[in-house]
Amino acid sequence: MILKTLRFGEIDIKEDDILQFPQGLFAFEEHKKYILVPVNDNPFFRWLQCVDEPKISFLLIDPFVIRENYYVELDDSLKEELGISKQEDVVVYTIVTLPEGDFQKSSTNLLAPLVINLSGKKAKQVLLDETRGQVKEPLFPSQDNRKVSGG
Amino acid sequence: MLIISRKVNEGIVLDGDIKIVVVAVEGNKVKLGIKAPKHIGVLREELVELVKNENILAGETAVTEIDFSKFKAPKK
Repeated sequence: MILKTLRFGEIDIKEDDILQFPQGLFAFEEHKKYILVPVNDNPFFRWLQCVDEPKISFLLIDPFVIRENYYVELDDSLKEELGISKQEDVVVYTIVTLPEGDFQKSSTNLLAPLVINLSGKKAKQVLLDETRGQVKEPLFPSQDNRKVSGG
Repeated sequence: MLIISRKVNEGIVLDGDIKIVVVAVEGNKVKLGIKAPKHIGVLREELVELVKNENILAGETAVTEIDFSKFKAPKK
């Protein structure tokens, strides 16, 4: 099927590729269908394009690249909710925020990762404990440190 | 909004199996104990607001060119 998007224009997607977010994302509760779009030349990123609203898309990153010891617990209720039977079916991404589109100043939200069951096509944005990650974790931390030490 | 007065160790029950008890009151802090079935998510309101605001910011990302080659995986 052809999907109209603001970011990518018209793209051809398979019905089977559509991910269901039964609860939507925080603040975007009414939108429940998304697809993952790869980013050319960089394996750590994905786009999450909303299926029923062409204007909505999020940039995602593999959070384990940002923080090696990052983890998301798959407890029984989450497994049940997303129909997870094998851990290998699960991928975790976090949403990237680009202030004014400035990639160098971008951060990612380690507090509320997206847990995606790729085989069951079900996903959820979960909220972790505050101690596990911050809402604005910089993608380019060395620059950030320089700013802090210099100011 | 329903407003109920409770003393320490008193609680309320929601929908039969969700129990919220006032554990302690210290100055302007109230400690609550929550007992609920596993599927009931208990979230702090301010964290939910924080994440909502961040999602809105992230969702507003302009359709600009991003030079993804600038981001490289850290050396391990």
